[in-house]
Amino acid sequence: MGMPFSVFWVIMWIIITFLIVLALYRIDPDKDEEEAN
Amino acid sequence: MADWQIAMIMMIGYLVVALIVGVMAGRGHDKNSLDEFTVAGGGLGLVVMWFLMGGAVFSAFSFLGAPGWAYSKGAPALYILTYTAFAILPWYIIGPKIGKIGRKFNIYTVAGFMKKRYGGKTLPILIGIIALLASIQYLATQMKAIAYIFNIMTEGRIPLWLGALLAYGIVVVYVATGGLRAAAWSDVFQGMLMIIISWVVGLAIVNQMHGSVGEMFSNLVQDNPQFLEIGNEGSTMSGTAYTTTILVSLIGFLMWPHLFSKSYASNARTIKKTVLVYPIFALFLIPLLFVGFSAINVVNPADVGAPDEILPYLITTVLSLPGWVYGLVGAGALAAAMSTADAITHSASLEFTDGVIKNIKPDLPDKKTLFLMRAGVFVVGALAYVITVFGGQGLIALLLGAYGSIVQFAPGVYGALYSKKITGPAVITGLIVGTFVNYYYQLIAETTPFDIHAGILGLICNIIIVVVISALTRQKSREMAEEYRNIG
Repeated sequence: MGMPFSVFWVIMWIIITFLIVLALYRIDPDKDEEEAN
Repeated sequence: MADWQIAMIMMIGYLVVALIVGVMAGRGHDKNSLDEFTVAGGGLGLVVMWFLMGGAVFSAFSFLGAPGWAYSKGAPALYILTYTAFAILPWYIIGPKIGKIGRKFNIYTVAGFMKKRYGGKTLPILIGIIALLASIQYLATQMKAIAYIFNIMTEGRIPLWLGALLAYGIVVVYVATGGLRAAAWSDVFQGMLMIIISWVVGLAIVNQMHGSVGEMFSNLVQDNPQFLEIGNEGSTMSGTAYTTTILVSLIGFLMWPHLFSKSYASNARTIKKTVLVYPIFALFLIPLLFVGFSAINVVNPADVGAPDEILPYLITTVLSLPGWVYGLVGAGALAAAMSTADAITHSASLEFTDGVIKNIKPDLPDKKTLFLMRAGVFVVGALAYVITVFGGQGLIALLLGAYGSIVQFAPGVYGALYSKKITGPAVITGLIVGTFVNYYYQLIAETTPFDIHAGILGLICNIIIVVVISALTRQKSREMAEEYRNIG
């Protein structure tokens, strides 16, 4: 896209963070925890 | 039909739809329930929660300020992208815990959360007042944007006072009638509109001005290479300033009452999923930054009143775009401002009622509290409106100080969640000192040591004081401290 490095860098980290949180969520033992509201 | 007429019809059409969505969302639910008004019964789903959090952050600042920053400062504008994507991350851990504490003790505000843990009346009253002042400042910014966008898109036909009154009046009506649920559902509608407009109009502007995004950047790098760097010579912001600005946003973000109290409105699973999909919201900002970059070296800064006006300026003056584009951008900016304003108006009224009024008159029945909260929506709205239209310098300085002080809630909140040693007097002293340090460096001093953000300097003093005084004072309720720490 002809993006400069700084723009690429920020967007890359947003995507990497998204993937890391996704991985964490998958292994999170409490993710399906149900509680009464 | 003239361009401004098309724009005005579209913007008024948008306002009518926003009103209908907001009012309809509140229907069919118990109008007399405090729980429904404050946290929508605790049962908001993923999509609604995502738009509610996203809409609250995606404010007039994102819509008009992001292109403005990109245009006037260059790469430091990327901070907006970074903080939008990352600031929500701590919510994954603290959100479910705060939600469980809230449901256990029937809490729906930051003031209530602190009061239960630290005891006393001083802290909740202090928080109620700071939250109210800070919210009014935040609202006044949104309202200015609303008034301005109406004015420029109708080529000066709708005066500033009328534009603000029209759009914000609608927000006040649907929030007062439907509470959080109305705010949430209108945010879904407004959020979708913003996303579509940001991409369609944003990329259309870049393409019309430079041919493509790639060409825009090559032109920019050729003419102003330092503009896309941070901290190097010629850049508009130092590395420390950039980093600490992001840091203060990261810590302060979830301390804003309208975001903090969303922990009570959903279960753990929805909170975690919201955090997971939230960074995608940041990506919607990208075209708006590109709009700002595209104007560098094309538009002379002297021709634009203020950098924040660059997006409307491009549409109305530089590019010959049809009237419906005026209308679309106008509606998008209104949506951005209104989706932030509704959540803030709602939470400001809640915080003030729960933090200040309920501590002065503790035996208030639920029905009366609910009435006060609804009335508070109008009062907060009127105050923000008066300040927007007639605001004096001194008042604005006071509000700005409160605005920067929200981050100072952090030591008290994290202390309550993870430590049984932190005490009430320590949190109160830390909050006061942190607020003053922030206020001094933000509004009085001309520079800060090492170019560190004023909020971080306040926070450093705040944390030191909280730790030292906690070591010297005794816990009011040891059981409550243990309970808060062990929940979740």
